[in-house]
This record gives sequence, C-alpha cells and structure tokens, in this order.
Amino acid sequence: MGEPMRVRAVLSGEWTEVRVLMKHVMLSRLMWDKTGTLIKPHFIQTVRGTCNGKQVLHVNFGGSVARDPYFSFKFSGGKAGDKVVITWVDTEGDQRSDEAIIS
Amino acid sequence: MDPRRRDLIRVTSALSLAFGSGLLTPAQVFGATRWGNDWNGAVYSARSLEAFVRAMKGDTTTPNEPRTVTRSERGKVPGLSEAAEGQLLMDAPELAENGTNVPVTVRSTIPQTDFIALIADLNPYPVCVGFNVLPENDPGFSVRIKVAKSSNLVAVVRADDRFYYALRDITVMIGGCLG
Repeated sequence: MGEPMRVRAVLSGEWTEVRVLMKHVMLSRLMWDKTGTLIKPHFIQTVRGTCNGKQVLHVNFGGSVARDPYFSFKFSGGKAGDKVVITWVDTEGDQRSDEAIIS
Repeated sequence: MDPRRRDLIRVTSALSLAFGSGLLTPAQVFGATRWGNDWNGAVYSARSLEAFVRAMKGDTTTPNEPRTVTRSERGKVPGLSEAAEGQLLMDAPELAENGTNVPVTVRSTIPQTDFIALIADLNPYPVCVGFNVLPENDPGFSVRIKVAKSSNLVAVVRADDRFYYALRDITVMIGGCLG
C-alpha cells in the first residue's frame, strides 16, 4: 500500500476536472547512492481512474515524471456527488487507491 | 582493490553487457508489466524520440539507443508530421529554474485523438507520459515532469493512426536528474 494521495474533483459545466497529487519517490533509472548500494528504478507506471464503475482515466508514466507527481485531466458525464476512484501501480507492484466526491 | 568498488564495477559491467546485448530488456528491469500488457516497455522506456516513434508503430527489433542531437538538429523529428497551427497546444515555462519539477499542460484539438504523449527530448528516459484518451476524456492533461537539460519538449498525438507533434523549447537552470 503506497502513501495516500490527494484527489479533488470539481464539476464545471459538462466537464469534471480531477486533480491528483500522489506521493512517490519516482526514481527512473539504475543509480547508486553514496554508499555504493544499487537503487533500482521505482516509479509509478500506470494510473487508472473510474467514476461510478466507468473508466475515465488510463495513463502510463515513463521515467521522467517528477517526484510526488501531480496529474490533472478532465472527463464528461459526471454529476455532483459521484465518486471518482484513482488507482496507481508502480514498478514494485505496489498499489494505491484513493477517491473523491465530485463537487 | 576495495571489495565494494570491485563489486560495483562487476555489477555495472554485467548490467551494461546485459542491456547492450538485449538479454535484459528494459521491461524486465523496470518491473514486468502490471495489469496485463499495459505498460509497454519498448514504448515507455525508449531512450530517444526515434525509438519511441518506432515502438509506437510496432517495430521493436531496432536497438533502443539514446539520442544524440546536435544543436542544428534540435527540432527535427523523424516519422511524424507537424501538427497544424494551434491544434496541439503545449503550455510549459520557457525558463525552468528547477528541472526536477516542471509543470506542463498539453491539449489537443486534432479530431479523433486517441493517444497523447509528452517527451522530454534529452532526458535519459525521454518519455514522460502516455495518455490514452478515452471517449469521455477531454484530450489534454497537466503533469509535472523532470527535465534533465535545456532541450525541446515534444508532444506527440496519435489521431486516426497518424502521428503529429509539436515542440516547445525549454531552458533549465538546474538539471532535473540529480539524485
């Protein structure tokens, strides 16, 4: 289970804008730290989102997304009070889901 | 020789051999794909824009090499056609003080967009984001990325099986791959 992420979903007109702030180290490539220990890549690979069971987000990250990634997107068809669930999966197989109510 | 240093050299050379000879694919090192075959290693760990375009078009046999771009070549993008004026919008700072956190917004008005990618040209792993545009989505997103050095940001859009791109020049004060 990863660190909690903050999800905000705001409806304006027909578009719901969802903003997600995830907490993650996002290490993109093989590195060695100061003591010589190998650090493997460890970053979020895929983020998916659903609203009322319907998929509204499907995005893959490469290695170059910043630490503690911020991501925002829009979808149509949401109503106030609907629940948006965002899930991410990273290279270690770790997973995290968080949700927000559309306001 | 100091045993730690010897091990370091051993590991480095083994891994570089493995990568170079193709025995250890980026997909294996980066963790196998989760959720089915969703995270395509050839596409997302492409080392250059050319390799990304080849992988998107289905060619995974050509070796995946980092791109060396001379100053005069910055802006030449192979295999893609330039998006028409105003159809692929990229909002990114012209000067980024801190390369570890650069906010970028991409928006496409090209009809039938189904995939938008953001690539930082001279990063060691240039592909930042691959956004699959679902029917309910507005074809655009905002993200914060790492930019290693002053280079181009390229937004690539797949619409109707054709690829379009737009460039944005970005200057970075402190490189984005420290630590």
